[in-house]
Amino acid sequence: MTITLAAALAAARAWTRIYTARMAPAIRDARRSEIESDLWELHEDARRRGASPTRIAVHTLLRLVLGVGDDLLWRAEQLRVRPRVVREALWAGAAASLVFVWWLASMLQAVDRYSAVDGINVVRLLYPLRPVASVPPLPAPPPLSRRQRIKN
Amino acid sequence: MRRKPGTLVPIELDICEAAAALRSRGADEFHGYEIARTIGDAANVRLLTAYGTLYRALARLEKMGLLRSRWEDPAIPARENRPGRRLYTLTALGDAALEEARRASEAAARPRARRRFAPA
Repeated sequence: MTITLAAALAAARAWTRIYTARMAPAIRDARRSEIESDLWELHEDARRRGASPTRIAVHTLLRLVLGVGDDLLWRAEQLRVRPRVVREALWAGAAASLVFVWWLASMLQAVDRYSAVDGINVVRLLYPLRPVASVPPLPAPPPLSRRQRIKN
Repeated sequence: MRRKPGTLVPIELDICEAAAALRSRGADEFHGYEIARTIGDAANVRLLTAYGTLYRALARLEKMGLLRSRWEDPAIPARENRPGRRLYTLTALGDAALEEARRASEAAARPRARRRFAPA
């Protein structure tokens, strides 16, 4: 098993633990066991069909991500929360995420790539690239003549 | 998706169709992944139904009485060294709902007869 596949399976298990937390033990354990069984079946079936571990990982993650909304709605149904409230929360979360992405993108455009901002270079933190050592230093400008110095 | 009373939403219909297809192949009981795989194969898509969508719909169908479920005997998964499966069965009510949905979709697909006026 590769790290990517292990991470995808761990993500699916972690998410299942999160959205089933604080539920009635019978419902919680049934859902966790069902997802565990599905993860195993998908892995075995894909392996038999000759799929690569990365492909299985991507498939697992996509199935996980595309079902997040339904997972939350299922939880709401089980806890007798009105689905409308959950739907509104989901829309609000999606809108907040879009605003955050827009804000982050605008910040990254505004930040000078090579200079520190308030002591922390945000771009360097997000893209920790090594400095390029092979760039030759710029040649020193020729010394100013006496006339030019007087003019300045 | 808001449903009309007494109708099935597309994912529920897909599950019932897949369950009927599995039964026709001799599998009276099926687990979640089997359903997802059958739906995927029927639609000729690689990406299977999302976990949340599939298991929420299965739970809904069970609540509606169209499916019945049981956990398999723990000795079997222990022997085969795998997690236990929750096995579903399509009930008689599920069969009836599927028939009704098929009839409704056929009626919707049939072109409406145009009212023609008799020539004078």
